[in-house]
Amino acid sequence: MSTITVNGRARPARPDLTVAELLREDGTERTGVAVAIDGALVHREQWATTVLRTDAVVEVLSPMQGG
Amino acid sequence: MTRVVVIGAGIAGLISAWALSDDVDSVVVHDAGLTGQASPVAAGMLASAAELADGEEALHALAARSVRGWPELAGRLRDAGGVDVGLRDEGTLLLSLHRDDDAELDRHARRLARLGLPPARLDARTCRRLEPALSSAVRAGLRLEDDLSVDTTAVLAALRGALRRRGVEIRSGAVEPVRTGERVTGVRLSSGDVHPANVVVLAAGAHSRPLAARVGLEVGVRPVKGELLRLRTHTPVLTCTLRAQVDGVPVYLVPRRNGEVVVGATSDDCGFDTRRTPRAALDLLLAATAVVPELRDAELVSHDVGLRPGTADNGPYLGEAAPGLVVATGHYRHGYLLAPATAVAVRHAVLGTAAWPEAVPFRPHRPVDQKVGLP
Amino acid sequence: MDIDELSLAGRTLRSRLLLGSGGATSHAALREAVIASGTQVVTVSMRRTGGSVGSGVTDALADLPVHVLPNTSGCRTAREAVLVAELAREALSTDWVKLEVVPDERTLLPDVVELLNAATTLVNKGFHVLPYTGDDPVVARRLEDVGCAAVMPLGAPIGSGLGIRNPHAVALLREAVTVPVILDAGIGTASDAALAMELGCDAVLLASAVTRATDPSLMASAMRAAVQAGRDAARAGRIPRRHTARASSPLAGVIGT
Repeated sequence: MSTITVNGRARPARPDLTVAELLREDGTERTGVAVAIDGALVHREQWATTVLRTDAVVEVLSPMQGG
Repeated sequence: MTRVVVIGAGIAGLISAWALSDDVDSVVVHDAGLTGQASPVAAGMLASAAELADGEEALHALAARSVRGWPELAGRLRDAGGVDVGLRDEGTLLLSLHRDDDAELDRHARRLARLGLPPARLDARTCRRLEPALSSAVRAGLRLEDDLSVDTTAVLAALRGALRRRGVEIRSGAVEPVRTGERVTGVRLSSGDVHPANVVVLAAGAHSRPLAARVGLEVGVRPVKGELLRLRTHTPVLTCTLRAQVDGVPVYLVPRRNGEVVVGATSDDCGFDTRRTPRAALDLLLAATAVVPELRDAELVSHDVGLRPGTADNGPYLGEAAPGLVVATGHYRHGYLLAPATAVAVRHAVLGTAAWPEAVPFRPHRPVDQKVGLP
Repeated sequence: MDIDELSLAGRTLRSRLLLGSGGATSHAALREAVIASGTQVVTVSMRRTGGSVGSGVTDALADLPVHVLPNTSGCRTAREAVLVAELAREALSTDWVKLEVVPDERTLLPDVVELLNAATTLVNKGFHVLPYTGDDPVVARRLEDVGCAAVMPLGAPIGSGLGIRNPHAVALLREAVTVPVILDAGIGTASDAALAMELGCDAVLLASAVTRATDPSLMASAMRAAVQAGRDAARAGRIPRRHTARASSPLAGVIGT
C-alpha cells in the first residue's frame, strides 16, 4: 500500500490503483471533472489505464461559481 | 401500525423524530456517524434577518416564523430532555470596522427596513457601551434585538435525552432507503438486512443526495464546508452575538454563558473535504481579534469543521418527495433556526396536521429543480 | 439590416454583455440574473470541488443558451494558469479560457509578465485565450501579438465598483489593438458599462455589479440595456465636445424689443 496525495490530502492507494478507480472509490462524478497528476493533465480516455504510482500528486478540479 | 425510520441524527433528524414520536407507533433513528456532520459544530444563531440576502424573502418569512417558535421549543426541550439549551435573547450587533463596511451596513439596514424590521443604528460609543470589549476600531453598528441564539451541543443532548425517555432508539450505522415498486418501504442496513417502515424521513444533511439517488430521486443538496473556532475566556466578555466584515472576511462571534465564544465561519464549495485549514484559522482569528482584541488571550478550545447541506436556492427541502419518503434536509446555514419549521413540516407530511404556508416554497420538486440536465 | 454581432474567438455573439458567476448568493439567483441579462457567456472558476458536481453551478445553467467560459482565477503564476486552463478544457470541453494570473489578493491586479508567458503557451496549445490585463496599451498589443483572441482590460480593481478609472487609457488601448476589447472588472453600475462601450470596447464582462446588487435580476437587465445603449451611441457618431456654446435654434428672426 502506498500513499498518494489527492487535492492536497494524503490517501492510501493500492499499487495498481487507476485514476478511474480512484474517482469511483472517492465518489467523484465523472462528468465535468478534470484530473492532473504531478502537474500534468490526464485525459479522460486515459483514466482507466493510468495507474497512480507511489507519491503521485493528484488534482481533481471542477467548475464552480467565480469570476 | 405506523413505523417511521429517520435517516440522520443531526438537528433535522432528531427534531423530526421527536415531533413524530408521540403520534406514531414506532420511530427509529439511524446515523452513519460520518465526519463533517454540521449540527454538533454549528454556532446556533437563530437570526432570520442578520444573514438575509436580497431575493430570499420567502426564506426569511419561514425563518422568522420558525424563530418565534423557539422559546416554546426551548422550554419543552428543557422539560423533556432535562437540559437547559441556553437560549439567549440579547440579540445581534452588526458592526462596521472600515469605511467600506459603513456602506454595507447601510445597505443591510435598508434591507431590514423594507421587511418592516428597521434596526437601530448605533454610533461607536453606544456600541462600546453595550459591549465594552469591542475594539476602538468599531465605527458604527446595527442592533437586531429580536435575534436569538442557542447552545447547539445542549440542544442535541436535550433531544437525545427526550427521545431516549420516549423509547426512541438512535442507532449507529449507515442505512439507505429502499423501494418496492413506486413506494419507499424501509431502509437497508450495511448488513443487508431490510427494516420495513411506512415512512422514511431523509434528514442526512450534506449526504442526502446520494441516499435519495438510491431510490431514483434527485434531492439537490451539495456539501458546503464551514470551519469555525471555539474560544473561551475565564469570564464572559460578550453578551450579544457580534457580526462584522474584517478585511473582507465575514465573521460572527456567538457568546455562551460559560465564557465560550464560537467564532465562525468560512464557507467553501469543496465537496466532502473536512480538513481544518490554517487559512481558516488565520482568517477567523485575525477577524475575531480585530473586533474583540482581548480574545487574543483566550483559550483556543477547538477548530471545528462541518459540511452544510447547500441547495440551489439556499432553502431547505421539506415535505413528501415520494410515496413513503419525506425529506427534511438542505437546511444550509439554518438548521437550528428552522427546527420548529421542520417539525411542523414533517408532522404535516406524515400525520396530515396543519402546514405553514411559509413552507410551501420549500417543498421538494420545486421549480428550481425542474431543469433539463439533471438525472 | 445591420446585425451588430460580435465575432469572438470563432463564435458569433448577439449579446455584448458577458457575466461572471462569482458573488451570487445562490445558484438560483445567478440563474435568474443570467436570464435577465441576455448574456451568452458566463464565466466560472475551477476548484477542487471534490466531486459534489451534480448540484453545481454548471447544472444550474445547463439548459440555458450560454457558453460556459472557465477562468484561471486563483492562479498566481503562468505554470499554475496553464495547468488550470488545461483542466478546464478537459472538464468543460471548451477551448476558450479567460486567463487570469493574479499574485496579490488585496488588489487582484494582473501580473502581466506571467500573463504574457501563459498566454503564449496556451495559444500554442490551441486555446482561444481571453486575457485579463491592465489598461496599458503596450501590454495589450503584446497580448494580441502572441495570438490572444481578445484583450480584457480592467476598468478598476475587481469588485471595487469604481467604474472606469482611466477612460483615456481604455480609449488608447482600444486604438492600439485590432482584436476585440472586452472591458472586464470594476464596473459598478449601468452608466459604467455604457461608458465602456462608448469608449469603443466591443463588449463588457461584469460580475459583482450584478451578483452583489440589491436586485441582481433588475441590475442584469439594466446592464443589458446599458451595453446596448453604449454600443448604439458609439456607432451613432456623437457630437464633439466644445469649449463654447453652439446654438441649436437659429439666431436670426428673433422678436424685437
